[in-house]
Amino acid sequence: MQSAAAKLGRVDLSGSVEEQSFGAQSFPNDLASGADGNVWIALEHEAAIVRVAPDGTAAEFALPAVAGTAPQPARIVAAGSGLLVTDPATNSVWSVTTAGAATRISIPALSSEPYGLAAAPGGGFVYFTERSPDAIGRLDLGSGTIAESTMPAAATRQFPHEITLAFPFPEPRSTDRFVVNSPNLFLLEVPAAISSHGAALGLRISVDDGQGGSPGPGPEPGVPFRCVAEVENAGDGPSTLDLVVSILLPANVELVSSDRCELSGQAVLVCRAGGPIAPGGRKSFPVTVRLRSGASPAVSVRAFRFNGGDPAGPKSASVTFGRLTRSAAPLPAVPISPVSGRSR
Amino acid sequence: MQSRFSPPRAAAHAVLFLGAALAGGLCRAETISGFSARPLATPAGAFPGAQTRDPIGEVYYSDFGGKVGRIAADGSVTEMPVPSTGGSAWQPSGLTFGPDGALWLLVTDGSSGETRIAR
Repeated sequence: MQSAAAKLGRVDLSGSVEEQSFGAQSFPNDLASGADGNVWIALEHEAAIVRVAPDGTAAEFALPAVAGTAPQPARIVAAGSGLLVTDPATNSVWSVTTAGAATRISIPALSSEPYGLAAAPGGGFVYFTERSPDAIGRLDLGSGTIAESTMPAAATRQFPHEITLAFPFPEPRSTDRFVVNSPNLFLLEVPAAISSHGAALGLRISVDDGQGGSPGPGPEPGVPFRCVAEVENAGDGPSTLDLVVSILLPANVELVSSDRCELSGQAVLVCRAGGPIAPGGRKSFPVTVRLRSGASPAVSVRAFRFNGGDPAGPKSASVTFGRLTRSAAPLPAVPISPVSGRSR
Repeated sequence: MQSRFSPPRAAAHAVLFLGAALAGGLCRAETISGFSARPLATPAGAFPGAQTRDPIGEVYYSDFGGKVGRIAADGSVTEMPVPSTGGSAWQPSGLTFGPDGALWLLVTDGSSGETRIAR
């Protein structure tokens, strides 16, 4: 990106460059890839956000003045289904939809000069630097509320400027870490409290014959049957991005096939939702298994839910299929621990 | 980049202190629970500017003194000079990792002022 000439450049890996021009004094300051597949640009001196499609088509969206002050968009990141923009001129963070509609979120600290911006991994929070009070702000994307903490005292005045997510940890992640420069470098650690966005996730696991029909009284040797783990969002907000369900297979069954889950080790299937689950939406993870030869015909399958955050709802569920005595009634689709309440 | 750091302003501070005094009554000054920040041993003379992260989460920054710094997961910081062609130093600004795994930099030639893309 060039500031004086105000162009957007696209470079391919061979080093060839395509350029696209904006207003001469528009000062494109930052860019981000949106969830919509477009590139979004913050034009600092034009109080506007620009959307550039892969074919180069550009659309500009003006940010409205606040009490007579024109916004000066500084940093832009993709967050949730839209984008967020820091604006030191009006002491705000703007939430912009991929249709270009902007909503202002006012920062509690006065004249805080918000600048750097980084999304936390769970998708529920973004962190931003506040240069003037020497602080870090955190915006909860679900509730729109902002919390602020002051940087540690230093010998010289600090101006926290950039913030970058660093060092991801495998699940279960307990800490989100960021590097802040002000311009001295700081390592910021915050608990990985992921906003649930009002999601309330139900988890259940059921058994069927592979076509959704009754599974019969119990597993027959060599006859495949299906276990379906299902997560349903009964809340009023989307779940976070990194929802994972693991299915624990007992020793007496073997995996036949699974479309959406990967076997990890001998007995654990790891299933990823691959995206947020909308309110009212559900994701199911069917796994086809069969009894090992000579094994006991009582099968108990458990599923666990991990998602980095803590939305309401059960974290585990199980189903038992077949009994040692074959006289038992079938146990189709048994919901365990129904959803209740929601968390923040 | 340097010009973007405003000097301390007494008037702004006075407003800030007033704001802080009022904040208890007017707006809820919620803090980030569990927040901690510790300084990293920044190399002498370093002036970190733009930052990016590589695919494994190490953070790289551009230093207008012709260097690129890397922050490892243990918090250690190392700097490396940006190689240049010709006699004058290349001063890096924006930087990002490409899908090829290489670090791509915007560099300004110290003598001609020309800005180029390098990796």
